[in-house]
Order: sequence, then structure tokens, then C-alpha cells
Amino acid sequence: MIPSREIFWNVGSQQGAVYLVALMSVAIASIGLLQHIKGWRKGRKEKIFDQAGNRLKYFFRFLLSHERIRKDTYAGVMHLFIFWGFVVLFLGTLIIAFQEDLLLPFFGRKVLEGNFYLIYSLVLDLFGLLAIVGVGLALYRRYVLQPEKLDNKPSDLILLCLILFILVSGFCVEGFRLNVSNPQWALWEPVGWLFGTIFNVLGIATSTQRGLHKIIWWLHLIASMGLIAYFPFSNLFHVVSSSLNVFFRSLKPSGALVPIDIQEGEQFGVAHIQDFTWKDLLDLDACTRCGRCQENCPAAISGKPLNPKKVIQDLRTFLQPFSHNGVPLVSNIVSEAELWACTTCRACMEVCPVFVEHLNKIIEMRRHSVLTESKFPSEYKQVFKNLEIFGDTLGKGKLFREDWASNLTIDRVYQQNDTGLLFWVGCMSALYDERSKNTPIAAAKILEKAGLDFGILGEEELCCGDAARRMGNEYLFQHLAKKNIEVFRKYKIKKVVTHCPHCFNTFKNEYAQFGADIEVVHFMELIVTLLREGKLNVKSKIDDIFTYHDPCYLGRHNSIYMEPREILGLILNSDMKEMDSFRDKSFCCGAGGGNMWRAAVTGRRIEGLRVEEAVKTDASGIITSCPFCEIMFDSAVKQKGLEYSFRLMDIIELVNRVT
Amino acid sequence: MRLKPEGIWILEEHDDEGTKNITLELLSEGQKLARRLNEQLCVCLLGSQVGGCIPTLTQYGAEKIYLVEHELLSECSLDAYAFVLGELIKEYDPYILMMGATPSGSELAPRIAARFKLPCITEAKNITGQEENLQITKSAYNDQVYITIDPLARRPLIVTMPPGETDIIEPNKPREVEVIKKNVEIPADIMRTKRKRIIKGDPRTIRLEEADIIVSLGRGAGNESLPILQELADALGASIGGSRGAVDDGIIKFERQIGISGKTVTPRLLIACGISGAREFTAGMENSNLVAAVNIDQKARIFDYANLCIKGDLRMIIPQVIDKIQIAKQKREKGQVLGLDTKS
Repeated sequence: MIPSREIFWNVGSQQGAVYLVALMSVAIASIGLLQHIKGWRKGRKEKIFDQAGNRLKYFFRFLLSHERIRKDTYAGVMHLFIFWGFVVLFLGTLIIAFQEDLLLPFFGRKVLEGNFYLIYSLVLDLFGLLAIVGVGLALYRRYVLQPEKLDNKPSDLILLCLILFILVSGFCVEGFRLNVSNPQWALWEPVGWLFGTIFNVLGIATSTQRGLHKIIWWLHLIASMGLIAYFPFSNLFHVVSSSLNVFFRSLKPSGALVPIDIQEGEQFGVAHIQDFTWKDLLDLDACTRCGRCQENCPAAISGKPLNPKKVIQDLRTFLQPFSHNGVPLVSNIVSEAELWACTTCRACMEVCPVFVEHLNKIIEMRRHSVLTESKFPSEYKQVFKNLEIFGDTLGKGKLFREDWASNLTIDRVYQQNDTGLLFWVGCMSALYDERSKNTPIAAAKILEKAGLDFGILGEEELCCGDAARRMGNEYLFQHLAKKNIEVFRKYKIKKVVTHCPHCFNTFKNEYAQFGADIEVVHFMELIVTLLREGKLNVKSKIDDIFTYHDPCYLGRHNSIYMEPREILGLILNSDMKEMDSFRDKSFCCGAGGGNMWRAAVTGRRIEGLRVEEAVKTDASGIITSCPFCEIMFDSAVKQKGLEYSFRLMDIIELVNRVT
Repeated sequence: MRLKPEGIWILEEHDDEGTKNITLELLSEGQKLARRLNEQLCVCLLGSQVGGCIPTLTQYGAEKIYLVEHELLSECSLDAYAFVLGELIKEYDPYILMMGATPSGSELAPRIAARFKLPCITEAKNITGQEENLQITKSAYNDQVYITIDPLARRPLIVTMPPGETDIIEPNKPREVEVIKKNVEIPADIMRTKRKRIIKGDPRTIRLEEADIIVSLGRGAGNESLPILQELADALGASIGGSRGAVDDGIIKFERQIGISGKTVTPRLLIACGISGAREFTAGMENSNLVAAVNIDQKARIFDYANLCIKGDLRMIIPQVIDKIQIAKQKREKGQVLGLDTKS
């Protein structure tokens, strides 16, 4: 006897009803799908069909490897089980449909017979079991472990129970069928066989089992079709929206914000939901409420009013039908406290498994607030004024920009025909205080030692504009950027090196938007090259044990993780110690996005939390490579009374000391 | 009337405590100028019962004093001042008239200039050049540019100079100088405004950026020191501010925070108590005129920013300072000059 089975066994005569139910559920699902599409279309147009091949390739890699989802191991495994379970079951159903609706009626042939049928049964059984385990894990996590990052809605429970019911009822049907028809290949359907055995042990009569089979078969069908109908109205829709979002993910440099035209129009940034692009709105829809952003957001962790997941979910309400588009977002949907608490550290985007871009939404709303409404934290007034009048955030003025070099014997202000490397000092190092000048002094000495031809702009340097841009003042940023680019052009500058991650990011990723054509390197990259080429030699090593803090704008925004560690490996005698959160999970110092100038009134200090983490490593000090982080940690270290026991240094100072 | 305008005039300004520092600064600057241009340094002393100021003025180099005393001049009515000053100019025809770029100086200078169609340069940094080709430099856009100005021939030239820019010279002994006492009748109808009353700002509630004296405290001071520091602040007429640490500890409110994430302040005097001087804090106060710091830690970074460093426990030191201030206040009420004993 050839192993096979009759598809509509025991229920055959009601085939028509099955198709009717299927049609209805598809119709309902289509209505839901259309509503989603209508929601996305509320946004502005944006063309992002570039590099379709690459996008597709990445999309499949993403699905197959689950690399981003697996970053949270439990959730990753759970998702992997459910995902593959469903994929295989879905494919299995497709094969049945292919056979019953195409092969059998038109060609009178079957595929589900013989060895193929046996393997088919085995595979489907095993993946079905996998899916059950996955759903079990999900239920356990959501309702027993209850991690704080998950908010449970009734729809989540309905969805999981529905899926579980479909899977279990499927196996029940299989068990009853095996018991009644009793084929010799029953063990090829092991889970169904197990269910059947249990029913037999329970002593259910065969005739009863035949009856139960019919009932549960129908329930299974209705539940399955119900799931299809429910699909666009539930979190399961992420299968579509998140997949699309992975495909359409931003391929721009991760540290760059999108420029806006500040010459035209009276409205800037995003005031209402329809001012976002359709991709932004797809982002909102793609959010699965997994809560990883919330779990990694320094503002949320330190008890500030901001929660990135909540922002996305709050904005998402506008995608629902009959939502009122005219509501201004800032202060109605996203409070000002939420809006300004973001340090733009990018931790949320780094961990988001489906590439939701929280940051640009927050910045767009800040732009609206600053440029259209002129509403921003009162402390920023002074910063903007300083930038407008003095060209630096501190209000010191260009006359003091060369002061740090006054004790150096080098006279290296750029002249018309200089061709060397431009060493960009930045306001925070050149102007903040005496301590801040140590870094550029050390940097200049390193450049001297390596015998590099370099110059500084001195009085012609202006703020790079990073702070202004992240604080939403795009107008001021573009003004500063254009002025700086003019100076670059004037001296025909080709290559810039800087030690400030904020200047670095802005030059590297954002100045090209305004026509700058410069090569930008961070000091870490330069030092590594110099050390490798032997132009810089480590003469002695440092005995102390340090830990390294990855600045957000060097690490997450520009993926420079390896260089500082390589340098520390060369100049420290013992291995450096890593903090609990490092590299792409590094915890912000709290200064970014304008928060340097803003007092956080609620919650704990972000820099304080980070210093606590550093102290926990038992290192004797914390090394960073960002002037902002250094200033933030300084006050945190003092506040904890560790002023004299815990050291705080820029990696460049250390390198200068040992070379 | 003489043929050529002559004399460098300085308009004196005073308050209840006597001649203001701006006048002494102008005298210091004026002395150098007078010597170079070979002119006489004269002071216009206008007010009611201001004769007592004469010795001080002579100490700082005044060679001639035009004294006009009138009861209407006591109310700081600029109408009266402008009228009297105009009468003096008409009669004596000075070469240069210098005033402080203070609120009243800044208002008087253009009034006089408009009345006699004279050249007027406000907020000047310095005056260079010789008699016929004087040059005045002034700053613009917050010292981002300096402008040099040639005043055209008409004299007197009216110049105002901002306070706090010139070092005051060492005083000499008072000497006898020529005092020209004028009686000027002020017609009642020139008075267009009248001052009714003065409402003093409460240092406890004014905005920190506007405070003249600030007593600031850090986490080193602790909650228990707040009353005594408030007492010090009240004695000095100062406002209370603090570091981020103090705000975090709930000692003071956020509105009173000094630092890069709080307020940037530039008071005449800042007293830092129990503040170690995190970079966050010092960035908000480094432009204070005078800084006194009290800290038990000799290595505290705040001492790098202080003019007066006191190592010790503020609970021991501050009460003594308060006592000294009270004594000084009592003395002043008896008519003696206030002088903070820095050794305490």
C-alpha cells in the first residue's frame, strides 16, 4: 500500500463550505491590509527603491539567520521556533492546496504519496512541535516571567492562544485520524501518533474519536481562517509590516540626519502625522512592541519621561482608521519632556530588530518645535545665541580658539598654500576649560612625533553644528556647516582629523549633504595606522587597569569599536576591563542631543549610572575618546566622591604619554 | 567765551555710599588722557549735598571740580541733570566730556549731544591719538569686532565708557583743588518725569543671572548648612545658588543651579561653599568678578578659580564672616566706610 492520505477524509462532502470560510477570512484580512496601506499612505512620498538587489539579499539573510532578533537570546530562540514552525506548516498547506486544487482536478495526480508523503508528514510534525514549544516559550515569557519591557494587551493573549489552539487542534485531528484509519506508517507522524496514543490510553472509543475528529477538524479550520482574518488587526501583522521595514531599511550612513530645505516654506520638521514620510509611518507599523529600545534607552533607564517604544506606539495610533490627522504631535501626543530627554545615543535603533528609526522622528519633531514654534528648553536659548554670535556652544568667541596651543612651540595655523592634514580641534576641547585643552595638546604632540604635516584653523574654526542639529535647530546647523565648508574650500582642505566624535560624525556623514568633499578620520583610526606603520612607537607601557567607554557618536553612529581597544591593548600592560554594556550596547554619558546644556530634573543621572558601571569593573579609571563624555563623567565622579581614586582620561593623553 | 574748548570733564556718579567705582575708573583713564593731551582733568559734581565726595575725587586726580548743588538733583532726575550739565557746557566749553556707560550715563550722553549737536560715542574702549586727530575704539557684537571712530571736529566730544573695564589707579592723598561752585536755577517746567519710589528686588527671588552677589553651595555644604548660608546671603544682600550636586541632593531648586546645564552667572562676588568645582559647575561661573571659595579639601578644583581660598569647615568660618559683616554694617551706619576684612 502506498503511504498517502485522503485530504478531506471524514469531512469530504463539505468541501464547498471550507472554501466559503476561506474566502470570507481572506476578504476580512484584505480589508485590514488595505487599512494599513491607507495608513502608510498618509505620509509624504519618499523614493527608497534603490539597491533592490542588496535589499532583497539582506532581507533573506535577516530571515534565515535571525541575527538581529537573536541578540535577545530567549526571544530570539522563541521567535525562531515559531517562525520556522509557521513557515514549514504554511508551505505544507500550500503543497496540499497545490495538489487538491491544481494537480488532482486537472491532471488526476497526487504529490503527497509514497516516500515524499512520509517525509512531508515527519517534517510538518516536527516543525509543528517546534512552533508549539515556541508559543509555549512566548506564553511563559509574557505571563510568567513578565519582563518589564513587555506590555501585555488582550490582543497578545488572544493571538497566542489562537495559534496554540490551531497547533494543538491540528495534532488532535492527526491523532484521531491515525487511530481511526490506523495506517502502518503512523510513526512517520510522531506527534500525531503520540496524541493518538494518549487518546487511546484515555479509553476513547474509536467511533467517538471519529466524531471528535470531525468536530475538531472544523474547529481547527475555523481557528485557522480566523487567524487569517484576525491577522491584519493583530500584532501578527508584523509579518508583513516588519518584513517590509527590513527590506526598506535606511541604507544612509547611520550617523547622518536628513537635511531639510530651510529656504522654502513656513513649516519645518514634523507637526502632524502626515508630515512624516510613508517610510516613517511604516516604521510605526513595523514596531512589534518588543521593548528592546525601552530596555536600552538611557533616558528610560534613568527614569526620564522618555520611552522610545511609547513614542512609536503613541504615534502609531494615527495609522488606525478614523484617527484625527489634524492633531499637532508635540505636546499632544509626544510631550515636550519626552521630546527633549533623548540623548540621540542611537541605542534604540541599534537594538531594534526591525530597523525602526526612532531618532529621526524625534529630531523631526524637535525641528518643528524649534524652527516653526520656537519652543525649546529655556537653557537652549543661550546655546543657540552663543552659536549665532560666537560660533561656539560655550560663548567664548573665536579669539580664544588658539589658546590651547600657546605653550606649544608649533605655529601651525593654516595658511593659503598649506597642503597638510587639517587637525580640527572643536569647541569643547579648545574652549571649555584648562583641563579640556590637554587632549588637543596631546593630539598635536602625537602628530608632531609621527612627523605629519598638519595645521589648525584657529580663529577660522566654527562649531561643526552637531549640537544645533540634534537640538532641532537645522537652520543654525546649516549656517555653520556652510561657513565651515567655505573655509575648507578656501584652503583646499582634503583630509581632516579630529578627536571629537561629534565633529567627526558631522563632517563624515553630514557635510557631504552640503557639498563638502573631504576625507575625515578620527584620531583613533589615525593612531592605529601610525602604530601599525611604525611611525609612532610605544616606548613604555602603563600599569594601571582601565575600562573604556564607547562614545555613542564614535561607536554606534560610526562603528569604531575595534581601534580604541587595539590601542589600549598596545599601551596597557594588562588587559582592559569591559563594562557590562560595551561596544554597540554602550551606555550613553548623557550629554548628546543637547542634554549637555540641559538639566535633567527627573530621574537619576545618566552619567552617574555609567560611572557606577565603570567602578564596578574594579578598574582604576575610565578612558574615553570624547570631550563631552569626559566633562559629564567628571561631575559624576566628583559626585560619588571618587575624585582622587578614580581617574578619567582621554585615550589620546595616554597614547601621548607612552610614545 | 574762550577761543578753544579745553578741559577733560568727567561726570561724577554717586549713590548712598559715595562716589561710584565707574567715576574712579573714568578718572584713572582720564588722568592718562589729560596728561597726553596736556589738558586739565575736571569733574562735574552734581547733586544735593555732595560736597563730601570732593576729597575722594581729588585722591584720584581731579584737578578742578565744578560743583552744582540743587535739591532737584538729588532725585536722580535726568531732566535736571541734563539741564545743569548743558548750562555748564555752554558756559565753560570743555574739550571732552566723559561719562560712564551706566544706565544714567547712557541716557544723558545722547541728550546732551542732541541738544548741542555734538559728536557722541557710546561704550568706548579707549581714546587714542593727539589733539587734532583723536581716535576712539569701541567694541561691537560682544567683542567680536572693534571699531575705530574719528570724531569730527565739533567739541566737546561726548564719550561714554563701560564700567568694569579699567583698573582703578592707586589713590593719592586728598589735596586742595579749585572748586567752582555754581548756582544754577532749574526751571520747574523742564522736569518732565518724577521718580515716585524705589522697589528693591528681593535677592531671594530675583533671577540668578541678574544677582550681584551669589552665595553658592554644593553637596559638601549639605542640607544642614543651608540656614547659615541663607543668613550669609541675607547679610550680603546676595542670592543663593548651587551646584548640580546640591540640586540632586534636593538642597536647592533647579532654578538656582549654576553650571553648564543650569545658569551661567557673572556676579560681582560669588562665594562658593562646599563646592569642589566640577567642570560642569565652573563652566557656569568662571566669568564671575570675584570668587571666594570655602572648602575643607585643599586640592579642591574650585580653588583654581577663586581669588580668595579658604581651607576649612564652612560651619566654623561662615558664622565669623557673618559677624564681621554685621559689625561692618553697624560701622557704616555710623558713617564709616565699609571694608571687608579679607583676612577673616
